[in-house]
Formats: sequence, structure tokens, C-alpha cells
Amino acid sequence: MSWLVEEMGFEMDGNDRLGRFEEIVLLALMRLREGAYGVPIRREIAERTGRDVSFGAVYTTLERLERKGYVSSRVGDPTPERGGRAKRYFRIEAPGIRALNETRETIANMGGLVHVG
Amino acid sequence: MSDERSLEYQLGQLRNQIAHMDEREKATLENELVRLTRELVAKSATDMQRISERLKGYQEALQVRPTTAERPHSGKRGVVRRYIDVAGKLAASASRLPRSAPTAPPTGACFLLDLLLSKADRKAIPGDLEEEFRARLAKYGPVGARLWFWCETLRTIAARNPLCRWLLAGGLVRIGEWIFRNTGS
Repeated sequence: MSWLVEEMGFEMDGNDRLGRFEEIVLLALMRLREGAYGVPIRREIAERTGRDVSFGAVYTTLERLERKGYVSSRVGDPTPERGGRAKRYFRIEAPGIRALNETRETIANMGGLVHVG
Repeated sequence: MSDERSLEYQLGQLRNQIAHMDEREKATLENELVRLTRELVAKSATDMQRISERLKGYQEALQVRPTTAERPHSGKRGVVRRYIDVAGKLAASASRLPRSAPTAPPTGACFLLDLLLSKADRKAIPGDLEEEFRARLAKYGPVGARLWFWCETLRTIAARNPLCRWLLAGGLVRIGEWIFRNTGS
């Protein structure tokens, strides 16, 4: 079931909380900074997590984060190696950084209270 | 002999048969007219009009009823036939697509992406797929890269097409429940 959720980019949490895959995508955007578009985002996720996610799942999550105001996008110039198609660049915005920090703080706090293992 | 000449030749043959003909031959001719009318669908608009006028002339001379292919679309059957026509035209246009070179992304997959993705997605996603395809071409060769492109196309459509998303999000479960409820009671 969790595979299907990530594969399809479905939303598991409410609007104000970050889902696991949303957090991963935002962290990839943080690492890539200005050059973040579909191909490097997907590669970054694959290299760091070892999971092969589809472009569809990445774009669905990015679209949802954009609706929440955590991410902004702009269309670049078309290039020949992409069959004359344009790149869509994504950038993490201030509310996105705030949400990411809050989520990580929550997890850290919970980790401090519970002894795992 | 071109297709047009061939049709005209066949029509000429029919004209010769009209003079000496019994009921059984008439039925054979009617079938022949149906076949010719179907062939006309593939012709250009001008040719279709010209030759269909000729066919109409023959039908009047023979006093045969309009062929199945010429009956207007109406009612439920008409709706089904219209869908069949559209599906046929779509299949014909897909089969006319030029075969792509081994080092280019599969044309069929690109056609599916253009057909099933939204306008906004068509700007960026096929470009990302093509860029990744070219990177994989050097690493895995044409067969591996093309296979990857096809798999990724299907995964992308499943995630981005609204109907596929609805089906995977619970539509299939709801349909199953409905069938179970209706067959169980």
C-alpha cells in the first residue's frame, strides 16, 4: 500500500503536515538549489534513498507542494537534447523551509522521548 | 493500377452486370456495394463525394436499400458506431506513425504521452523522459533504454492521468464493492 502511495504521489497527511515523500522531495530541492528540475530531482532521490521513483510521482508531489505554497516553479528555455522541450525548474520557498524544519523538529522531539530498539 | 482506378474499374464491372441480373445476383451486388463503400472511407473527401455519388446512382438503378455503411448514426447503436468509427480512425493514425530510430525514444510511447498527459505536463515531462532516455542509451544500449522509456511512460501516465489516478485511488475498489453488493443480494 505504501508503495502505491509513493508511486502515485498520493497524499497521506493533511494539508498542514508534510508526508514522508514530500519531505524527501523538499530535501532534494534544498540540495539542488537553482538547478532543480525533473531529471536531477529524480536522480537525487534515487541516489540518496535507493528507490526508483517515477517522474509522475515526483511531479504529482511537486504540484501539491506548489499548491501549499512551499515550492515555486518556472519554465526554462527549450533544449535540443530534450527534443526541443522546456525544463520546469522548482525552488523551495520560505514556508517550505519552515514546514521542513517543523517536521524534522517534531521527529527529533519524538525520538528524544522514545527509546527505539 | 492506383486505388482510384481500381475502384472505377470495379464500378464499371457492376454497371455491365445491371442489364442481365436476377435476385440472387442483385444481393451479391449489394454486398459488393457495401465493400466498395467501406473502401471509400480511406479516400480523400473529394474522391469520396464523387465516387459515392456514382454508387448512389447504381443503387437507384438497382432499387436497393442503402448499405449499412451509409445509414445515418442514430439511437444507442448510432452512439456505439460513432465510438467505433473514432477508435478506428485513432488506430489508423497510430499505425501510420513513422517507426522511430533505435537511438530515438519509441514513437508509440511519445504518442501515448501526448495523448494522455495534460497540456501543462506535456511541456516538461516528455522532455525529462527524453533526457533520461539519452543518458541511459549510452549505459544500457538502445533495447534497454527503449524498454525503460516504455515502463516509465506507463508509470507516468498511471500517476498523472486523472482517470488512471481515480481508478487506482479507489475506483476499482468501489466498482468491486458495487458488483459484490449487486450480485450478493
